Amino acid sequence: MEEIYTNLTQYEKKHKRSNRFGSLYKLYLSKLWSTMIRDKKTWIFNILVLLPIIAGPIIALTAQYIDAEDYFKLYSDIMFLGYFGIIIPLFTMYIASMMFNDEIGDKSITYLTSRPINRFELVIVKYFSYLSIVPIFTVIATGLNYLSFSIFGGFEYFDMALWFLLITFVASAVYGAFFMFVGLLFKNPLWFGLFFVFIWEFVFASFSQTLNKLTIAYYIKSLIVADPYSDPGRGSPAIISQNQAFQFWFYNTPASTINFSIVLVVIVVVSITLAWSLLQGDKFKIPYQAGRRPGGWKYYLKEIRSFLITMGILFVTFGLVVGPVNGVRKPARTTTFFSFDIDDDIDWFEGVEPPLPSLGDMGYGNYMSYTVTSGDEVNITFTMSTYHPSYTAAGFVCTEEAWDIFFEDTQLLWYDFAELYSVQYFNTTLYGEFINDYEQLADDFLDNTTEYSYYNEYAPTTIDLVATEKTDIYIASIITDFDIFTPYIRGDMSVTVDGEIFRRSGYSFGWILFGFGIIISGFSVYSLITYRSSDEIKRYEEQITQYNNEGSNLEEQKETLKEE
Amino acid sequence: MKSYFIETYDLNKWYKEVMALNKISVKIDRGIVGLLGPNGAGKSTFLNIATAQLRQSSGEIFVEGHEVWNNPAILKRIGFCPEQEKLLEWMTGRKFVRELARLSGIPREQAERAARDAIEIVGLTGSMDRAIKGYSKGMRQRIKIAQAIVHDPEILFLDEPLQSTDPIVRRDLVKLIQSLGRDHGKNILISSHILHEVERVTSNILLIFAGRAIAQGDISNIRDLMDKYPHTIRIRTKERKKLATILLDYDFVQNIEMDVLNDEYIDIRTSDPDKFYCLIPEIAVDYKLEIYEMTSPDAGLEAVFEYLTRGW
Repeated sequence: MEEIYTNLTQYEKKHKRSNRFGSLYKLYLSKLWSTMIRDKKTWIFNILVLLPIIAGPIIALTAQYIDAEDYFKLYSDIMFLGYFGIIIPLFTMYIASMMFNDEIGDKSITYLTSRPINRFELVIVKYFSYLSIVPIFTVIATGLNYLSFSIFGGFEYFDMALWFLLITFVASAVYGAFFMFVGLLFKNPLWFGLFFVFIWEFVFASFSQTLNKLTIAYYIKSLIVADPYSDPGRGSPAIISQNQAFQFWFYNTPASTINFSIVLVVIVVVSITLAWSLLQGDKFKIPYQAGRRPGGWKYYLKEIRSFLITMGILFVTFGLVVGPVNGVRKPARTTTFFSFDIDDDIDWFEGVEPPLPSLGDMGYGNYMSYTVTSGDEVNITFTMSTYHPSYTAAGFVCTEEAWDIFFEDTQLLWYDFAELYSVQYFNTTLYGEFINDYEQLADDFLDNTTEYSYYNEYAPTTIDLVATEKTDIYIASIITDFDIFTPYIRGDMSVTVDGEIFRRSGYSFGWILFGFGIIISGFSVYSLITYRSSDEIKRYEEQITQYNNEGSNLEEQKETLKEE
Repeated sequence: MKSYFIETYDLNKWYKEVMALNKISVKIDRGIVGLLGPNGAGKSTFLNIATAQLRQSSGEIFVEGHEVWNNPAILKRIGFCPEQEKLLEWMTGRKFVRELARLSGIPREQAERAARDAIEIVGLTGSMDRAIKGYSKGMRQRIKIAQAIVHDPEILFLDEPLQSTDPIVRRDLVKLIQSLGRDHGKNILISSHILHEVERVTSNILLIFAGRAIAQGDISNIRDLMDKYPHTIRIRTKERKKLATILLDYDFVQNIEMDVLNDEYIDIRTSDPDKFYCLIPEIAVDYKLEIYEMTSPDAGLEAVFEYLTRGW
């Protein structure tokens, strides 16, 4: 036995990162492959992924007649809702969350962590091995899904199938990173995984747009409906014939390409970073109080350096995403506010006791009320088109109180005019007086508005303002100059108000996070520069000397034992 | 400055409210050292901290003068045989050892031979191409030792390495550990809760009880304490009444109890176990008594520790 052992002393050792990566990758690859092929429980999820393959033949057999567009609409709906919405998250949840979880559970990870391997290498190689098998498997399954449908549907919409292949890979990669982190976070990650897939991604996301944006599915769906072609664009290949992808694109506000690209990458990077920090166990605990150790606060800084680097990266990344990327231009409203017709007359003034004119009766069409918060950017464009005659109008933003006062005064003015005009029709003097009174009223009102601007059919106008406090604002338009050559208030005039409100609430917070991340990173860099291994040795020697001077309590314990 | 095999300074480890290690301050010289303590004493926690599997809650630990946490450089020199039975189950024994050899830096072309050598040393060559999931407890123990020595580490941490092995393998492993320490100059920390098991490998021990280091040094001191401590010895014989009658004549026999549940067992309490162990073979021959079994239920460390730690 001793002789054989002598052989073991002869082998050389090359501690190269490439050697470690290669052997670790191979080891993890074989483990994942074994799990996917030999583990019975995994086969439940394998079958789930392969399930849509039989959907094509079943639909073809059960439907009496279905044209190609409807047939592939059904295919795209199954993929959009079922495959990307449930099956991919469930499958990746089971595989990825158990990757570290079972190793830690049975402690077999000890054989790897007792080797000269950085724990970050364990995480990153594990993820690479996952990327080498699981997304490939799901991509193949996606391809088979398309083939099974196409056999009966005539191999159409090939670009949609290719698009789905790409999305399958991306979705598997993103969910894989996230659930690998979840697997390290919980002792039994499957319960959380099921909650996440069914409750968080589905139920909570349906409550509001804001919650929806906190789901991974939202960004995956945004990718599905994104236009992969260059400008001018043909739209996403996944959108056909008002399918589910179309409805998501139309009724929701999908994330922009830059947004979902950043968010999906951030999810992967942050998940891997957090998985690493969790695998480090209590690495991020601070075992000593600052100042009590030789080396003082520099040693303290060194102790938490890895933590600082990690948090610095996280803060800077989050700060950039929340601040400059999302905070600056995060539209709260992007659609056309309203349009109205100036087509007024005095037809409303009828009956024994005519009512006060409504907004429409007076030709203002409509107004819109919004609640803005401090920092919101309001950008509105007023455009007028008329057939006959031309008026001058003013678009404005005002407070609720100012609008109410103007509205009531105008109602009374309009009523009085209508009362007289109904009996003295075509009285130009009466008309002129009314116009003067009205224009004066309008001018006074505009002086009390937050912002206003004149426009006509030849010159549209815009109003840009930044809200300074949380308040309700009214956006509307009124006519300020009527055509004096037309002795009646009537015209075919249409006003369109387009606008956006950009909410900047996350902007400042993002910059604060970003700044904080820079400060933390600065400390990390400072520690990397100033704390050297020689300091470590010196500290160690000081510790030994101090201990030798103080003496060991173990000797006393031994003496006590001997006496006993 | 002299550096020790292992140095700890006020080493503490808490698992939430449970204190696994309590202010352990020791300096362990190089060589083979036994880490002794009853189950739950903190041996595995100590070994896990020494091999960077866990980080201490406070205090310091140095292995050969180096901090171990997050220090892959020291892990290159360490071989660790952990306590748990679970291995990388989907592999064969040979692949398991070979892949771990590669992770310890042995190039691909040499790793296969190194794995075969290590497996041969632990006597598992015949089963090395079988899947680990079919291994018995003893085989698992041996393959664990093979992976710990495959890269010829300078330092070995063996957590209960002889557990579940049969007598022949146990003898061979003891020889191997002795040889590694004496002939190859390895520093070995071997944990066990069985005193005589460690005694066969080394005389230098560290005693741990309830997370505290209660004694360190030569095993003979502990043995003395143990021998002076009254022992209960359990004997299985069909003629227990006859044996009891004979033993009553000896003054170092303090008490004799017949087992009421099993009429073949008798418990004898003696104040001098050494004399008693010498006496029994003589009695068996002189009085032609058939003795099938002789065990000492409280000769284990736990009883000794209870004695040693009275008043702590």
